[in-house]
Amino acid sequence: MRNITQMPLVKGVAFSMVLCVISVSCYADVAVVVHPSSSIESLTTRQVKKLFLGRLRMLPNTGREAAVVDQDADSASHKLLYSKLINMTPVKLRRYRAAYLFSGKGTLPVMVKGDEKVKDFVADSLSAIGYIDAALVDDSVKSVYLLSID
Amino acid sequence: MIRFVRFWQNLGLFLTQRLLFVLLFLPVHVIAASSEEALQLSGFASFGAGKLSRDDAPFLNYAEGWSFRSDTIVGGQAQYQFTNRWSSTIQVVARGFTFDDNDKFDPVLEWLFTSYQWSPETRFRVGRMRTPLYLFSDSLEIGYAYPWVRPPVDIYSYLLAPLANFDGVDFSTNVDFGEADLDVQIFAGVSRGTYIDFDIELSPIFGVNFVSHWDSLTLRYGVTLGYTDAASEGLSAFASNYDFFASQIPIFKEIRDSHETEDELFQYHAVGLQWDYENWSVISEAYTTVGPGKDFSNDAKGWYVSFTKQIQDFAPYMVFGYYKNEFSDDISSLIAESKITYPVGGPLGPELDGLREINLLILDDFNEKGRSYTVGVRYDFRQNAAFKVEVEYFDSTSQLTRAALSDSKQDTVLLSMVVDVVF
Repeated sequence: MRNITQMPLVKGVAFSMVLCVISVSCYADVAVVVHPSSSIESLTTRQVKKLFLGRLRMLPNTGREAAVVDQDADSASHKLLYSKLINMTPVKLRRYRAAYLFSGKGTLPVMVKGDEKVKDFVADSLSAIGYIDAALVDDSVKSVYLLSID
Repeated sequence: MIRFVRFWQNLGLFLTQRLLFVLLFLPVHVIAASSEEALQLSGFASFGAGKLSRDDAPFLNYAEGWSFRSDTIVGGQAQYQFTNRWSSTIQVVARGFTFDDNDKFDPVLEWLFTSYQWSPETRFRVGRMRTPLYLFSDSLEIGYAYPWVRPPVDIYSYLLAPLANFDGVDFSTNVDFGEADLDVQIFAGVSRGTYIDFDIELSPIFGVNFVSHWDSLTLRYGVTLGYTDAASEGLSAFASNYDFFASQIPIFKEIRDSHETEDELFQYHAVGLQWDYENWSVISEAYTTVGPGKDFSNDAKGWYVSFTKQIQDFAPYMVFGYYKNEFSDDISSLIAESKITYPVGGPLGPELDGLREINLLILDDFNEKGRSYTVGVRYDFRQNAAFKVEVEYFDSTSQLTRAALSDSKQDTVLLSMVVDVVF
Protein backbone atom coordinates (compact mmCIF):
# COMPACT_ATOMS: atom_id res chain seq x y z
CA MET A 1 0.00 0.00 0.00
CA ARG A 2 1.30 3.40 -0.90
CA ASN A 3 0.88 6.10 1.68
CA ILE A 4 1.45 9.78 1.44
CA THR A 5 5.07 9.54 2.43
CA GLN A 6 5.77 7.46 -0.66
CA MET A 7 4.06 9.73 -3.14
CA PRO A 8 6.23 10.85 -6.01
CA LEU A 9 7.97 14.13 -5.49
CA VAL A 10 6.05 16.16 -8.05
CA LYS A 11 2.73 15.06 -6.65
CA GLY A 12 3.92 15.88 -3.15
CA VAL A 13 4.87 19.41 -4.09
CA ALA A 14 1.62 19.92 -5.95
CA PHE A 15 -0.26 18.56 -2.95
CA SER A 16 1.42 20.91 -0.52
CA MET A 17 0.80 23.83 -2.87
CA VAL A 18 -2.90 23.01 -2.89
CA LEU A 19 -2.79 22.91 0.91
CA CYS A 20 -1.15 26.30 0.80
CA VAL A 21 -4.04 27.82 -1.06
CA ILE A 22 -6.77 26.33 1.06
CA SER A 23 -5.16 26.66 4.50
CA VAL A 24 -4.59 29.95 6.29
CA SER A 25 -0.86 29.48 6.61
CA CYS A 26 1.50 28.22 3.97
CA TYR A 27 3.15 25.72 6.27
CA ALA A 28 3.12 22.03 5.49
CA ASP A 29 3.68 19.24 7.99
CA VAL A 30 7.31 18.68 8.90
CA ALA A 31 8.92 15.25 9.07
CA VAL A 32 12.06 14.49 11.04
CA VAL A 33 14.13 12.17 8.89
CA VAL A 34 17.10 9.81 9.22
CA HIS A 35 18.94 7.44 6.91
CA PRO A 36 16.62 4.70 5.56
CA SER A 37 18.73 1.90 7.05
CA SER A 38 18.99 3.56 10.48
CA SER A 39 17.89 1.36 13.36
CA ILE A 40 15.66 4.17 14.64
CA GLU A 41 12.00 3.55 13.91
CA SER A 42 10.47 6.50 15.70
CA LEU A 43 11.44 9.26 18.13
CA THR A 44 9.48 10.85 20.93
CA THR A 45 8.75 14.57 21.00
CA ARG A 46 11.26 15.03 23.80
CA GLN A 47 13.96 13.15 21.95
CA VAL A 48 13.45 15.35 18.89
CA LYS A 49 13.56 18.51 21.02
CA LYS A 50 16.70 17.41 22.80
CA LEU A 51 18.44 16.36 19.59
CA PHE A 52 17.84 19.71 17.90
CA LEU A 53 18.92 21.58 21.03
CA GLY A 54 22.07 19.48 21.30
CA ARG A 55 21.08 18.06 24.67
CA LEU A 56 21.12 14.53 23.28
CA ARG A 57 24.39 14.19 21.41
CA MET A 58 23.93 10.68 20.03
CA LEU A 59 21.12 9.13 18.03
CA PRO A 60 19.17 6.84 20.37
CA ASN A 61 19.92 3.09 19.96
CA THR A 62 22.60 3.63 17.34
CA GLY A 63 25.84 4.36 19.20
CA ARG A 64 26.42 7.18 16.72
CA GLU A 65 27.17 10.81 17.40
CA ALA A 66 24.22 12.73 15.97
CA ALA A 67 25.00 14.87 12.93
CA VAL A 68 22.09 17.27 13.31
CA VAL A 69 21.11 19.06 10.11
CA ASP A 70 19.47 22.45 10.39
CA GLN A 71 17.86 24.65 7.77
CA ASP A 72 17.88 28.36 7.15
CA ALA A 73 15.91 30.31 9.76
CA ASP A 74 13.77 31.76 6.96
CA SER A 75 12.62 28.39 5.67
CA ALA A 76 9.06 27.23 6.31
CA SER A 77 10.21 23.94 7.85
CA HIS A 78 12.58 25.70 10.25
CA LYS A 79 9.93 28.15 11.35
CA LEU A 80 7.43 25.40 12.02
CA LEU A 81 9.82 23.11 13.89
CA TYR A 82 11.25 25.78 16.18
CA SER A 83 8.04 27.69 16.84
CA LYS A 84 5.64 24.76 17.27
CA LEU A 85 7.81 21.99 18.66
CA ILE A 86 10.90 23.46 20.27
CA ASN A 87 9.10 26.62 21.30
CA MET A 88 11.88 29.11 20.66
CA THR A 89 11.80 32.39 18.79
CA PRO A 90 14.65 33.06 16.33
CA VAL A 91 16.27 35.54 18.74
CA LYS A 92 16.13 33.09 21.63
CA LEU A 93 17.45 30.27 19.50
CA ARG A 94 20.48 32.30 18.42
CA ARG A 95 21.31 33.16 22.06
CA TYR A 96 20.86 29.56 23.08
CA ARG A 97 23.15 28.38 20.28
CA ALA A 98 25.83 30.95 21.17
CA ALA A 99 25.78 29.86 24.82
CA TYR A 100 25.86 26.22 23.76
CA LEU A 101 28.75 26.62 21.36
CA PHE A 102 31.04 28.59 23.64
CA SER A 103 30.35 26.69 26.83
CA GLY A 104 32.03 23.55 25.61
CA LYS A 105 28.81 21.59 25.28
CA GLY A 106 29.33 20.59 21.67
CA THR A 107 29.22 21.69 18.08
CA LEU A 108 26.30 23.37 16.35
CA PRO A 109 24.08 21.65 13.78
CA VAL A 110 25.27 21.45 10.20
CA MET A 111 23.62 24.09 8.03
CA VAL A 112 22.06 22.81 4.82
CA LYS A 113 19.88 24.95 2.59
CA GLY A 114 16.56 23.59 1.36
CA ASP A 115 14.54 20.42 1.93
CA GLU A 116 16.04 18.65 -1.11
CA LYS A 117 19.61 19.19 0.04
CA VAL A 118 18.72 18.03 3.55
CA LYS A 119 17.32 14.86 2.02
CA ASP A 120 20.54 14.31 0.06
CA PHE A 121 22.60 14.88 3.19
CA VAL A 122 20.55 12.51 5.33
CA ALA A 123 20.42 9.86 2.58
CA ASP A 124 24.23 9.95 2.63
CA SER A 125 24.95 9.55 6.33
CA LEU A 126 23.90 7.06 8.98
CA SER A 127 24.59 9.68 11.67
CA ALA A 128 22.47 12.41 10.17
CA ILE A 129 19.13 13.64 11.41
CA GLY A 130 17.24 16.45 9.69
CA TYR A 131 13.76 17.76 9.02
CA ILE A 132 11.92 18.45 5.79
CA ASP A 133 8.47 19.18 4.43
CA ALA A 134 6.60 15.92 5.12
CA ALA A 135 5.25 15.87 1.58
CA LEU A 136 8.79 15.43 0.26
CA VAL A 137 9.59 12.26 2.20
CA ASP A 138 10.46 9.37 -0.15
CA ASP A 139 12.50 6.14 -0.11
CA SER A 140 15.81 7.97 0.22
CA VAL A 141 15.08 8.90 3.87
CA LYS A 142 13.08 7.49 6.78
CA SER A 143 10.54 9.61 8.64
CA VAL A 144 10.82 9.01 12.39
CA TYR A 145 8.66 11.85 13.68
CA LEU A 146 5.84 13.83 12.15
CA LEU A 147 4.94 17.35 13.27
CA SER A 148 1.45 18.28 12.09
CA ILE A 149 0.31 21.86 11.83
CA ASP A 150 -3.04 21.41 13.55
CA MET B 1 59.36 50.77 30.86
CA ILE B 2 55.92 52.13 31.77
CA ARG B 3 55.74 53.88 28.44
CA PHE B 4 56.59 50.63 26.72
CA VAL B 5 53.79 48.80 28.53
CA ARG B 6 51.33 51.59 27.69
CA PHE B 7 52.26 51.26 24.06
CA TRP B 8 51.29 47.58 24.03
CA GLN B 9 48.10 48.25 25.97
CA ASN B 10 47.06 50.95 23.54
CA LEU B 11 47.94 48.74 20.63
CA GLY B 12 45.76 45.98 22.08
CA LEU B 13 42.84 48.36 22.48
CA PHE B 14 43.37 49.79 19.00
CA LEU B 15 43.35 46.32 17.48
CA THR B 16 40.21 45.20 19.33
CA GLN B 17 38.35 48.31 18.21
CA ARG B 18 39.36 47.66 14.60
CA LEU B 19 38.33 44.05 15.04
CA LEU B 20 34.80 45.18 15.91
CA PHE B 21 34.33 46.64 12.44
CA VAL B 22 35.70 43.56 10.75
CA LEU B 23 33.41 41.29 12.77
CA LEU B 24 30.31 43.32 12.09
CA PHE B 25 30.76 42.86 8.37
CA LEU B 26 31.24 39.12 8.47
CA PRO B 27 28.52 36.94 6.98
CA VAL B 28 25.63 36.83 9.41
CA HIS B 29 24.87 33.15 9.31
CA VAL B 30 27.96 32.01 11.12
CA ILE B 31 26.22 31.45 14.42
CA ALA B 32 23.16 29.86 12.83
CA ALA B 33 24.98 26.62 12.11
CA SER B 34 28.35 25.18 11.45
CA SER B 35 29.82 23.22 8.60
CA GLU B 36 30.52 19.53 8.40
CA GLU B 37 34.26 19.68 9.01
CA ALA B 38 35.92 17.84 11.90
CA LEU B 39 37.65 21.08 12.92
CA GLN B 40 35.33 23.92 13.89
CA LEU B 41 36.58 27.45 14.52
CA SER B 42 34.50 30.15 16.09
CA GLY B 43 34.87 33.28 18.14
CA PHE B 44 33.17 35.95 20.16
CA ALA B 45 33.88 39.50 21.22
CA SER B 46 32.42 42.28 23.30
CA PHE B 47 33.35 45.93 22.91
CA GLY B 48 32.36 47.92 25.96
CA ALA B 49 32.35 51.55 26.97
CA GLY B 50 31.36 53.13 30.23
CA LYS B 51 31.68 55.98 32.68
CA LEU B 52 31.14 56.24 36.40
CA SER B 53 29.62 59.08 38.40
CA ARG B 54 32.71 59.36 40.61
CA ASP B 55 36.45 58.96 40.47
CA ASP B 56 37.27 57.81 44.00
CA ALA B 57 35.87 54.25 43.79
CA PRO B 58 36.82 52.82 40.44
CA PHE B 59 34.21 50.10 39.99
CA LEU B 60 35.57 47.50 37.54
CA ASN B 61 38.19 50.13 36.73
CA TYR B 62 35.60 52.54 35.32
CA ALA B 63 36.04 56.20 36.27
CA GLU B 64 34.46 59.55 35.51
CA GLY B 65 35.81 59.73 31.99
CA TRP B 66 34.71 57.32 29.29
CA SER B 67 36.78 54.20 29.17
CA PHE B 68 36.67 51.32 26.77
CA ARG B 69 38.47 48.44 28.40
CA SER B 70 36.58 46.99 31.35
CA ASP B 71 33.90 45.12 29.39
CA THR B 72 35.99 44.55 26.30
CA ILE B 73 36.91 40.96 25.57
CA VAL B 74 37.86 38.81 22.58
CA GLY B 75 37.83 35.03 22.44
CA GLY B 76 38.52 32.26 19.98
CA GLN B 77 37.57 28.61 20.08
CA ALA B 78 38.53 25.47 18.20
CA GLN B 79 36.70 22.16 18.48
CA TYR B 80 38.02 18.98 16.94
CA GLN B 81 36.07 15.77 16.55
CA PHE B 82 38.59 12.92 16.52
CA THR B 83 36.20 10.02 16.23
CA ASN B 84 32.55 9.33 16.77
CA ARG B 85 32.90 9.69 20.54
CA TRP B 86 36.11 11.63 21.20
CA SER B 87 36.49 15.37 20.78
CA SER B 88 38.62 18.24 22.10
CA THR B 89 37.86 21.89 22.73
CA ILE B 90 40.20 24.81 23.29
CA GLN B 91 39.19 28.37 24.08
CA VAL B 92 41.46 31.37 24.51
CA VAL B 93 40.22 34.71 25.86
CA ALA B 94 41.85 38.16 26.00
CA ARG B 95 40.38 40.74 28.37
CA GLY B 96 40.69 44.45 28.90
CA PHE B 97 40.03 44.09 32.63
CA THR B 98 40.61 41.34 35.18
CA PHE B 99 40.85 41.10 38.94
CA ASP B 100 44.39 39.79 38.74
CA ASP B 101 45.92 42.71 36.87
CA ASN B 102 46.11 40.89 33.58
CA ASP B 103 44.29 43.61 31.68
CA LYS B 104 46.61 44.01 28.77
CA PHE B 105 44.61 41.75 26.48
CA ASP B 106 47.08 38.94 27.13
CA PRO B 107 45.42 35.75 25.88
CA VAL B 108 44.48 33.30 28.64
CA LEU B 109 43.67 29.62 28.20
CA GLU B 110 40.12 29.30 29.54
CA TRP B 111 39.08 25.88 28.30
CA LEU B 112 41.13 22.93 27.13
CA PHE B 113 39.47 19.58 27.49
CA THR B 114 38.97 16.26 25.82
CA SER B 115 35.54 14.77 25.95
CA TYR B 116 34.32 11.20 25.65
CA GLN B 117 30.68 10.60 24.82
CA TRP B 118 29.83 7.41 26.70
CA SER B 119 26.14 7.21 25.77
CA PRO B 120 23.53 9.58 24.32
CA GLU B 121 23.07 11.09 27.79
CA THR B 122 26.44 10.68 29.44
CA ARG B 123 29.92 12.03 28.89
CA PHE B 124 33.26 12.42 30.61
CA ARG B 125 35.69 15.28 30.24
CA VAL B 126 39.23 15.84 31.36
CA GLY B 127 41.22 19.07 31.22
CA ARG B 128 40.60 22.70 32.07
CA MET B 129 36.93 23.55 32.40
CA ARG B 130 34.65 26.20 33.85
CA THR B 131 33.81 25.78 37.54
CA PRO B 132 30.01 25.41 37.59
CA LEU B 133 29.37 27.95 40.33
CA TYR B 134 26.40 29.71 38.73
CA LEU B 135 23.69 29.49 36.09
CA PHE B 136 25.76 31.43 33.55
CA SER B 137 29.19 30.15 34.58
CA ASP B 138 29.60 28.29 31.32
CA SER B 139 29.03 31.35 29.15
CA LEU B 140 30.42 34.12 31.36
CA GLU B 141 32.30 35.88 28.60
CA ILE B 142 29.68 35.37 25.91
CA GLY B 143 27.82 38.66 26.19
CA TYR B 144 25.72 37.69 23.19
CA ALA B 145 24.23 34.81 25.19
CA TYR B 146 22.80 36.79 28.12
CA PRO B 147 20.49 39.81 28.40
CA TRP B 148 22.74 42.27 30.25
CA VAL B 149 25.95 44.21 29.61
CA ARG B 150 27.60 41.84 32.12
CA PRO B 151 26.28 39.17 34.51
CA PRO B 152 24.90 40.80 37.70
CA VAL B 153 27.87 41.82 39.83
CA ASP B 154 26.14 41.02 43.09
CA ILE B 155 26.98 37.41 42.61
CA TYR B 156 29.18 37.15 39.52
CA SER B 157 31.93 39.48 40.51
CA TYR B 158 34.77 38.82 42.84
CA LEU B 159 34.03 35.34 44.06
CA LEU B 160 34.13 33.90 40.61
CA ALA B 161 37.18 35.67 39.35
CA PRO B 162 39.91 33.49 40.87
CA LEU B 163 37.91 30.25 40.81
CA ALA B 164 36.43 30.54 37.34
CA ASN B 165 38.26 27.49 36.02
CA PHE B 166 39.47 24.21 37.41
CA ASP B 167 41.82 21.57 36.08
CA GLY B 168 40.38 18.12 36.53
CA VAL B 169 37.65 15.78 35.43
CA ASP B 170 33.90 15.89 35.17
CA PHE B 171 31.03 13.52 34.52
CA SER B 172 27.68 14.69 33.23
CA THR B 173 24.48 12.90 32.45
CA ASN B 174 20.83 13.63 31.75
CA VAL B 175 17.95 11.84 33.44
CA ASP B 176 14.52 12.00 31.83
CA PHE B 177 11.29 12.10 33.85
CA GLY B 178 8.82 12.40 31.00
CA GLU B 179 7.78 16.05 31.15
CA ALA B 180 10.89 17.19 33.00
CA ASP B 181 14.53 16.22 32.93
CA LEU B 182 17.61 16.70 35.04
CA ASP B 183 21.21 17.40 34.07
CA VAL B 184 23.67 16.16 36.67
CA GLN B 185 27.32 17.19 36.62
CA ILE B 186 29.92 15.93 39.08
CA PHE B 187 33.40 17.42 39.00
CA ALA B 188 36.72 17.36 40.83
CA GLY B 189 40.09 19.00 40.37
CA VAL B 190 42.20 21.92 41.47
CA SER B 191 41.60 25.61 40.98
CA ARG B 192 43.87 28.57 41.56
CA GLY B 193 43.77 32.25 40.86
CA THR B 194 44.47 35.75 42.06
CA TYR B 195 42.04 38.38 43.26
CA ILE B 196 43.77 41.73 43.62
CA ASP B 197 46.69 40.68 45.84
CA PHE B 198 45.11 37.52 47.22
CA ASP B 199 46.53 34.27 45.92
CA ILE B 200 43.87 31.63 46.27
CA GLU B 201 44.18 27.92 45.68
CA LEU B 202 41.49 25.29 46.08
CA SER B 203 42.98 21.85 46.19
CA PRO B 204 40.98 19.78 45.81
CA ILE B 205 37.83 21.46 44.57
CA PHE B 206 34.82 19.26 43.89
CA GLY B 207 31.09 19.50 43.63
CA VAL B 208 27.85 18.61 41.99
CA ASN B 209 25.53 20.66 39.87
CA PHE B 210 21.85 19.90 39.11
CA VAL B 211 19.92 21.66 36.37
CA SER B 212 16.33 20.71 35.72
CA HIS B 213 14.29 21.73 32.70
CA TRP B 214 10.53 21.54 32.79
CA ASP B 215 8.68 23.21 29.96
CA SER B 216 9.82 26.86 30.07
CA LEU B 217 11.20 26.61 33.59
CA THR B 218 14.85 25.94 34.44
CA LEU B 219 15.90 25.30 38.03
CA ARG B 220 19.43 24.89 39.30
CA TYR B 221 21.22 23.93 42.49
CA GLY B 222 24.97 23.59 42.75
CA VAL B 223 27.32 22.93 45.61
CA THR B 224 31.08 23.30 45.40
CA LEU B 225 33.51 22.37 48.15
CA GLY B 226 37.11 23.47 48.22
CA TYR B 227 40.02 23.04 50.59
CA THR B 228 41.37 26.54 50.39
CA ASP B 229 44.73 28.23 50.80
CA ALA B 230 44.50 32.01 50.69
CA ALA B 231 47.10 34.65 51.39
CA SER B 232 47.52 38.29 50.57
CA GLU B 233 50.93 39.84 50.15
CA GLY B 234 49.80 43.11 51.71
CA LEU B 235 48.04 41.50 54.62
CA SER B 236 50.90 39.10 55.39
CA ALA B 237 53.30 42.04 55.33
CA PHE B 238 51.07 43.83 57.81
CA ALA B 239 50.82 40.75 60.04
CA SER B 240 54.60 40.50 60.16
CA ASN B 241 54.51 43.60 62.39
CA TYR B 242 53.53 41.14 65.11
CA ASP B 243 56.75 39.15 64.61
CA PHE B 244 58.50 40.51 67.69
CA PHE B 245 55.52 39.91 69.99
CA ALA B 246 54.78 36.57 68.34
CA SER B 247 58.26 35.30 69.14
CA GLN B 248 57.59 35.87 72.86
CA ILE B 249 53.88 35.36 73.40
CA PRO B 250 51.71 32.60 71.87
CA ILE B 251 48.53 34.67 71.42
CA PHE B 252 50.31 37.15 69.15
CA LYS B 253 51.67 34.29 67.10
CA GLU B 254 48.11 33.09 66.75
CA ILE B 255 46.92 36.55 65.67
CA ARG B 256 49.72 36.85 63.15
CA ASP B 257 49.17 33.41 61.65
CA SER B 258 45.41 33.95 61.39
CA HIS B 259 45.99 36.42 58.58
CA GLU B 260 46.40 33.51 56.19
CA THR B 261 44.17 30.56 55.44
CA GLU B 262 45.60 27.12 54.98
CA ASP B 263 43.69 24.06 53.88
CA GLU B 264 40.34 25.24 55.23
CA LEU B 265 37.07 23.93 53.84
CA PHE B 266 34.88 26.48 52.08
CA GLN B 267 31.43 25.66 50.71
CA TYR B 268 29.64 27.48 47.92
CA HIS B 269 25.91 26.85 47.51
CA ALA B 270 23.92 28.43 44.71
CA VAL B 271 20.36 28.19 43.44
CA GLY B 272 19.07 29.58 40.17
CA LEU B 273 15.86 29.91 38.26
CA GLN B 274 14.96 30.92 34.75
CA TRP B 275 11.36 31.18 33.63
CA ASP B 276 10.34 32.13 30.11
CA TYR B 277 6.69 32.99 29.77
CA GLU B 278 5.61 34.23 26.36
CA ASN B 279 7.83 37.27 25.78
CA TRP B 280 8.77 37.62 29.42
CA SER B 281 11.81 36.14 31.03
CA VAL B 282 12.61 36.05 34.72
CA ILE B 283 16.07 35.06 35.88
CA SER B 284 17.09 34.87 39.51
CA GLU B 285 20.02 33.43 41.44
CA ALA B 286 21.24 33.39 45.02
CA TYR B 287 24.39 32.06 46.59
CA THR B 288 25.94 31.65 49.97
CA THR B 289 29.54 30.99 50.88
CA VAL B 290 30.22 29.23 54.13
CA GLY B 291 33.77 29.58 55.39
CA PRO B 292 35.40 27.70 58.24
CA GLY B 293 34.58 30.63 60.57
CA LYS B 294 38.16 31.01 61.72
CA ASP B 295 41.44 32.49 60.55
CA PHE B 296 41.22 34.59 57.48
CA SER B 297 37.82 33.62 56.14
CA ASN B 298 34.48 35.03 55.27
CA ASP B 299 30.83 34.19 54.86
CA ALA B 300 29.27 35.86 51.84
CA LYS B 301 25.88 35.84 50.25
CA GLY B 302 24.13 37.56 47.40
CA TRP B 303 21.17 37.41 45.06
CA TYR B 304 19.66 39.10 42.05
CA VAL B 305 16.43 38.99 40.13
CA SER B 306 16.15 40.10 36.53
CA PHE B 307 13.11 40.78 34.32
CA THR B 308 13.29 40.98 30.55
CA LYS B 309 10.65 41.47 27.92
CA GLN B 310 11.38 40.70 24.28
CA ILE B 311 9.70 43.17 21.91
CA GLN B 312 10.79 42.12 18.43
CA ASP B 313 14.52 42.86 18.31
CA PHE B 314 14.49 44.90 21.52
CA ALA B 315 14.68 43.50 25.01
CA PRO B 316 14.43 45.99 27.88
CA TYR B 317 15.51 44.65 31.27
CA MET B 318 15.60 45.43 34.98
CA VAL B 319 17.85 43.87 37.61
CA PHE B 320 17.84 44.13 41.40
CA GLY B 321 20.72 42.74 43.38
CA TYR B 322 22.20 42.49 46.86
CA TYR B 323 25.33 41.06 48.41
CA LYS B 324 26.87 40.89 51.84
CA ASN B 325 30.31 39.86 52.97
CA GLU B 326 30.95 39.08 56.63
CA PHE B 327 34.47 38.57 57.67
CA SER B 328 35.26 35.96 60.30
CA ASP B 329 35.51 37.54 63.74
CA ASP B 330 38.25 35.10 64.69
CA ILE B 331 41.07 37.64 64.57
CA SER B 332 39.07 40.38 66.31
CA SER B 333 38.14 37.98 69.13
CA LEU B 334 41.80 37.04 69.50
CA ILE B 335 42.73 40.72 69.69
CA ALA B 336 40.04 41.30 72.32
CA GLU B 337 41.36 38.29 74.24
CA SER B 338 44.93 39.59 74.08
CA LYS B 339 43.77 42.89 75.58
CA ILE B 340 42.73 41.09 78.76
CA THR B 341 46.22 39.80 79.52
CA TYR B 342 48.10 42.60 77.76
CA PRO B 343 45.89 45.68 78.25
CA VAL B 344 46.04 48.89 76.26
CA GLY B 345 48.61 51.22 77.79
CA GLY B 346 50.38 48.21 79.29
CA PRO B 347 54.10 47.43 79.53
CA LEU B 348 54.35 46.13 75.92
CA GLY B 349 54.18 49.71 74.73
CA PRO B 350 52.08 51.95 72.47
CA GLU B 351 53.41 50.23 69.35
CA LEU B 352 51.35 47.13 70.11
CA ASP B 353 48.28 49.20 70.94
CA GLY B 354 48.49 51.01 67.61
CA LEU B 355 49.03 47.77 65.75
CA ARG B 356 45.95 46.17 67.28
CA GLU B 357 43.77 49.22 66.46
CA ILE B 358 44.92 49.36 62.84
CA ASN B 359 44.37 45.63 62.58
CA LEU B 360 40.74 45.97 63.67
CA LEU B 361 40.18 48.73 61.11
CA ILE B 362 41.66 46.63 58.31
CA LEU B 363 39.44 43.69 59.23
CA ASP B 364 36.37 45.90 59.25
CA ASP B 365 37.17 46.88 55.66
CA PHE B 366 36.23 43.40 54.60
CA ASN B 367 32.77 43.60 56.12
CA GLU B 368 30.37 45.14 53.70
CA LYS B 369 27.10 44.94 51.91
CA GLY B 370 25.58 46.58 48.90
CA ARG B 371 22.58 46.82 46.65
CA SER B 372 22.36 47.47 42.94
CA TYR B 373 19.57 48.50 40.58
CA THR B 374 19.96 48.28 36.84
CA VAL B 375 17.82 49.22 33.85
CA GLY B 376 18.88 48.65 30.29
CA VAL B 377 17.93 47.48 26.84
CA ARG B 378 19.35 44.99 24.40
CA TYR B 379 18.93 45.46 20.66
CA ASP B 380 19.70 42.58 18.30
CA PHE B 381 20.70 44.64 15.29
CA ARG B 382 22.22 41.78 13.35
CA GLN B 383 21.83 38.03 13.48
CA ASN B 384 25.22 37.69 15.13
CA ALA B 385 25.45 40.98 17.02
CA ALA B 386 23.65 42.80 19.80
CA PHE B 387 23.97 46.28 21.27
CA LYS B 388 23.17 46.89 24.93
CA VAL B 389 23.07 50.02 27.02
CA GLU B 390 22.36 50.15 30.75
CA VAL B 391 22.42 52.36 33.81
CA GLU B 392 23.36 50.75 37.12
CA TYR B 393 23.08 52.32 40.54
CA PHE B 394 24.98 50.98 43.58
CA ASP B 395 25.06 52.09 47.16
CA SER B 396 28.45 50.50 47.79
CA THR B 397 31.31 49.48 45.59
CA SER B 398 34.30 48.72 47.73
CA GLN B 399 34.83 44.99 47.48
CA LEU B 400 33.90 44.94 43.82
CA THR B 401 36.71 47.27 42.95
CA ARG B 402 40.40 46.94 43.18
CA ALA B 403 40.55 49.67 45.78
CA ALA B 404 39.42 48.42 49.17
CA LEU B 405 37.60 51.50 50.40
CA SER B 406 35.87 50.97 53.68
CA ASP B 407 32.34 52.16 54.33
CA SER B 408 32.02 53.78 50.93
CA LYS B 409 28.29 54.08 51.44
CA GLN B 410 27.91 56.58 48.69
CA ASP B 411 25.81 56.58 45.61
CA THR B 412 27.51 55.44 42.47
CA VAL B 413 26.03 55.35 38.99
CA LEU B 414 27.58 53.47 36.09
CA LEU B 415 26.51 54.10 32.50
CA SER B 416 27.76 51.40 30.18
CA MET B 417 27.18 50.03 26.72
CA VAL B 418 28.51 47.11 24.79
CA VAL B 419 28.41 45.52 21.36
CA ASP B 420 28.49 41.72 21.54
CA VAL B 421 29.41 39.68 18.50
CA VAL B 422 29.70 35.97 17.78
CA PHE B 423 31.42 34.71 14.68
